[in-house]
Amino acid sequence: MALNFVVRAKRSGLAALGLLALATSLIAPQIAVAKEEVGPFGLSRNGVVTGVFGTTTRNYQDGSKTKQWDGKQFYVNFEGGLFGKVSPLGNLGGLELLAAMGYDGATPDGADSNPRGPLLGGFLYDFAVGFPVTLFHQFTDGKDRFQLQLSPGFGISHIHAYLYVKTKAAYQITPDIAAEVQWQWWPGPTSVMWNSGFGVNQQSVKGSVYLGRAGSTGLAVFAEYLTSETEEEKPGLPVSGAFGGKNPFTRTERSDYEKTLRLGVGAAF
Amino acid sequence: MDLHTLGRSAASTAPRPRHSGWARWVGLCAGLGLLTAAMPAQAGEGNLFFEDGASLLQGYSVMGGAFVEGGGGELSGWKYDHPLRPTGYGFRYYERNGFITGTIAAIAIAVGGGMAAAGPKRVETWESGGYRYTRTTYYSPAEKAAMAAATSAAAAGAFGSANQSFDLEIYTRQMGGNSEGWRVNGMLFGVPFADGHGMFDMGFGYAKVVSAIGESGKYLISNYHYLGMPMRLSYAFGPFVTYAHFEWNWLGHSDSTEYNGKNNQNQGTVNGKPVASALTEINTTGFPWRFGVQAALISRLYLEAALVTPNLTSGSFGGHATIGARF
Repeated sequence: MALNFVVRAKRSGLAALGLLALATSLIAPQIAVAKEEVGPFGLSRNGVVTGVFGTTTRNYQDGSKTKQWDGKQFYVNFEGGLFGKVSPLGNLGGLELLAAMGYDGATPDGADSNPRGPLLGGFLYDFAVGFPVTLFHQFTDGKDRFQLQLSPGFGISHIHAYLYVKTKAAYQITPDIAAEVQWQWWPGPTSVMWNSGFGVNQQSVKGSVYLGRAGSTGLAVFAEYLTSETEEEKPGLPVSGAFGGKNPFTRTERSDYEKTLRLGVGAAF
Repeated sequence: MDLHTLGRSAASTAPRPRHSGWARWVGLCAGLGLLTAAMPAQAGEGNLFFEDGASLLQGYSVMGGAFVEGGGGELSGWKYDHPLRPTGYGFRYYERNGFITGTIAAIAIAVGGGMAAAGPKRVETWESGGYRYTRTTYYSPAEKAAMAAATSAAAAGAFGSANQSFDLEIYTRQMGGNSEGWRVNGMLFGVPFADGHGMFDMGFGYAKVVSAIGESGKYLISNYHYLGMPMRLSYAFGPFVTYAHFEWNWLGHSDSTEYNGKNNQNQGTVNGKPVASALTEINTTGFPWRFGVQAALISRLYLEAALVTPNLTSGSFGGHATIGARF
């Protein structure tokens, strides 16, 4: 879709964010200063480099037929970030960067002319900048034990240019093991696919485990499941007897686009 | 009662009572306010019910919440004295002294500077002897290095700007109301004064909001456009921050009917059949002002209320209110 400036909120995602905001605004304890060894990844790290294997399926319309591209993904994923601001409430704000490059096999095979495919054939890339802010910390013995985080951001990939919202919950299970659950949403109205008038409404759930002493270099393992649907803006349906038959609000047509399962392993530092 | 609010799908095109949005918003406000007020003061807060207003200006904080906007503000048909007044509800994300605006500006500067250095310095075209000649002159390596250094310094300055803010408002009819769209104001530079109690901010902004409201056979569609430079003068009095916010809307100077125009329509068609309907469609801009006050209660509850006017000389006024949680 063309970038439609009429942004619509997705009810479930925003309701979840609203509840998260409400809950954390009420229960978050105060911390006076930023603690040491607090990072955007796994509570205490500032970077993660992983090798990723994925299997993906993308649907596309070829005339009246729905066809599929299936393929594997292999790529290197780097995420780095730093907290550099402390709010009066003791929460931390910062900056995060994402860079990924590799191969994506779920691409046109040459016989397809459908433009809704990835740009540049099998070359996978994704670059993003985000602005993480912590919503809640629970410290035990001066160490971050539980952390909630919200991160809006923007980026480009071989699929689309996008904005995103990411939420994370991380827990230090033992001094050597931290677990993190992440939900990320790329809203359709803020997404622009390459070479087409569509957007991608995309969500992913990611679970990560960080092995190694908190704050030191360790092992990172994750699994991620991503789903998406294409979105196209259509003229609004007229309301009988009102507004002169006009409707300024466009309606969105969606269809399933992508399902991807990814596994990654690498180093966190 | 003949109220209509247009929907985005067939299921939601049915008329909605106007109070539905108010009920949700008031419920949200009441719930958030009561729950927050019920909280005991946290250790380390100094038992302050209100936070010092100066810290709202000087400190880093992030707020997420809901807003309501109504009356004769810039979304209304004020420019053509249309009586209908849309109400907009939505979500707001406000970051003070963070990284967002500076990072966006730094990226824009870096990309622009890089493109300028990579592009031609001068292109000359002339004709002679029946031929057309073109000569392209590129920047020398030394000139490119100088441009790169200047770009780098400008980007670093924008990124590291000490007093900046980012304000995103998403108008959505998911909460009711008549408006959809968004408004963003990135304040890139802030100049503190009066020992930190005052602040002058300026930056860049954009908005596009579509509103539709109808009553008793009269209908209004307004398309509000904004591209320009926001400026805000803030001053902290005790626990409150008062401000005057002006959006220098460059599109307000445009003669294009795309941004400043009105179209009356007494009869429309639905599925090719004529229907009687007095529709006014207004493309509107304005040079809007907001005069408001901000406060933070029990540290985490953020409240803001403002009187809005689409133009100082318009004589048309509306209101804007926000409630949210700070982090």
